[in-house]
Amino acid sequence: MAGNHPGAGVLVVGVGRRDRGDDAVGPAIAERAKELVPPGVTVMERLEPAGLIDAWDGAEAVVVTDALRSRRPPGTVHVLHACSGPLPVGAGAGIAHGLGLADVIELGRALRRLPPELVVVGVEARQFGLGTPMSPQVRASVERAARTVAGVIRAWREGTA
Amino acid sequence: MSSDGAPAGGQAGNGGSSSGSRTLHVPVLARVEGEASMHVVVYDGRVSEVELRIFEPPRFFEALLRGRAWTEPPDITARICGICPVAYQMSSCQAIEDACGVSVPQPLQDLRRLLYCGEWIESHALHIYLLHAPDFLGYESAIDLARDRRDLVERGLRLKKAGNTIMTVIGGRSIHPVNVRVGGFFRLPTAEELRGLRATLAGALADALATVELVAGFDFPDFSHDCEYLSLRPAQGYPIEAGQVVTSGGLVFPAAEFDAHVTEEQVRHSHALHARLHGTDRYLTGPLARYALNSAALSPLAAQAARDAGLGSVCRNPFRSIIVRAVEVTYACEEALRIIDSWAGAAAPSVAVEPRAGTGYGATEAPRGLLYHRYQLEADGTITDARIVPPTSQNQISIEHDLRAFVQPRLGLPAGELTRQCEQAIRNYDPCISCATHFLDLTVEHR
Repeated sequence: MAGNHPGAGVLVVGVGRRDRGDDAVGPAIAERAKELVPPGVTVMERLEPAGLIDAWDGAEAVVVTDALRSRRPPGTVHVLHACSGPLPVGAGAGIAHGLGLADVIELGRALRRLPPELVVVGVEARQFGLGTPMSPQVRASVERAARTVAGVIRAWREGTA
Repeated sequence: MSSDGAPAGGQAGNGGSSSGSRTLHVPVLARVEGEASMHVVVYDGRVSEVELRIFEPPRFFEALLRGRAWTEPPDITARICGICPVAYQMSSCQAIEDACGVSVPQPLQDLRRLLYCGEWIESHALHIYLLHAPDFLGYESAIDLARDRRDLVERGLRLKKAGNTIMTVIGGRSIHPVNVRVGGFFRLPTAEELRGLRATLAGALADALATVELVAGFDFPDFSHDCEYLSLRPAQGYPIEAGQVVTSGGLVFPAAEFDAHVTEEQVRHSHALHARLHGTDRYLTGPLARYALNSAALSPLAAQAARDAGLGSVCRNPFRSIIVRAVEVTYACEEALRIIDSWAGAAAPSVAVEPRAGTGYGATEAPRGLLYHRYQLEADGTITDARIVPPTSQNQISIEHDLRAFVQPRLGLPAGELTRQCEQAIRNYDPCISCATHFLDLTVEHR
């Protein structure tokens, strides 16, 4: 993370499994965002969110990209600011994974190990079938979500977030 | 579940009383990795059926592997589980090497064992501190535990990170290690890299011993089971990456005879196949089985920790499996240190593995139990058949049997409390249900 690049201290983590239908959207967004973000931004993938607390240790600003479900149309892009409070999972949104991303974020908050800036860019998923491709609506949202990630990082750099 | 049908977990149930049955949905078993549901049928006040419905991905991967090259299984099967990729890599490498008639030299075997120690530490620490300890300490989740006992959760995360560090140094990446190949590794770690792990592991060993002490003090329900135990047993040491299969009934056989002793059958309620060990009605693999069949092979420190924790040479209370996991973390830390301290280098990162027609077998001890792979190759190394038997499908019949015995005397509990206790009981087995993406629902139906 260290260095003088404009993106130093910024981390993008795509969470999800590429062979589980729309769960692939987290890594897909991160992969595309890598081409859009400034030099020095670290981009990585995680199959599951349990290791995120270690992954973002020392980072100043983190964007996590993931599939989520909240009864909105598939492909809907959500931007959730995690530093201001818990993700609204109790209000109907369910984010994928056994030890969920929301759980890991709250664990980080309880341990006082959240990065100073943490945003989740999530895409509404429709299905998680093993060996199935992403739903067309979800795939179509990858570009928009990746540009959202780049926009969030740009806003941080410009101090307008 | 209760007579007034109050839904457990605050979620409205379906089913409804108009049909004379009642079904509750409790989507709170999220602390079991992956997706599953538990279905309990109570008939006239008696538990008549307990079904653990799980979705199991190995079947998909078996099909995916057909037609692929003999070099591909370590990479492909590592994707089955985000928690235990090394187990899939090791069992697949062993099976392919067996098919090709290749033995990996001892230094590379040692490195594999070291990598596997990393996975045991990482997986067990995750399970003990983030998934299971909150049950025993009266917290809804690790988040609530962290608010009151930050020190405990930080210790768990430190241990987990120590395991991840081994996996990163040896495996190339902590999740889905990329440095593993049939025949060994793509790259050997340097002596300096290995020495660099020492301080982390020394700290982890202290944390592991403190973990044994912590979990030994938990209150455990008075419960025991009498199923057959099955695990590996190597010529030396505690079973991790090698060994013959042994059972508490006295069977001893190599991985090549696994199919002759264990058959899988499809059941109506689950995508998973249920494994049966011939001559028994159910068996269990995993920490309790490993410990019962190999406790004499523990290192002196781990054995002492087990004794201090009140474990005898055999433990048949599944709730106390959390102690066995902590003892195994202790052993894995010691074993990792031993391998690092005795490392004298290897001639090459891998040995050549030329394909040939044949069938190969591999069995290793994933954190949650024995993982069996079998591959059939054509002369050019194309895979024509693959079979993967994960621990959870082997354990499923025993889990259901235990849950039936556990639920019956607790039917009078309020719905929420019974659900909570069932979740805790399921977590005793650390079922790896595919590292999938969905929520786990519990349904209880009164007829």
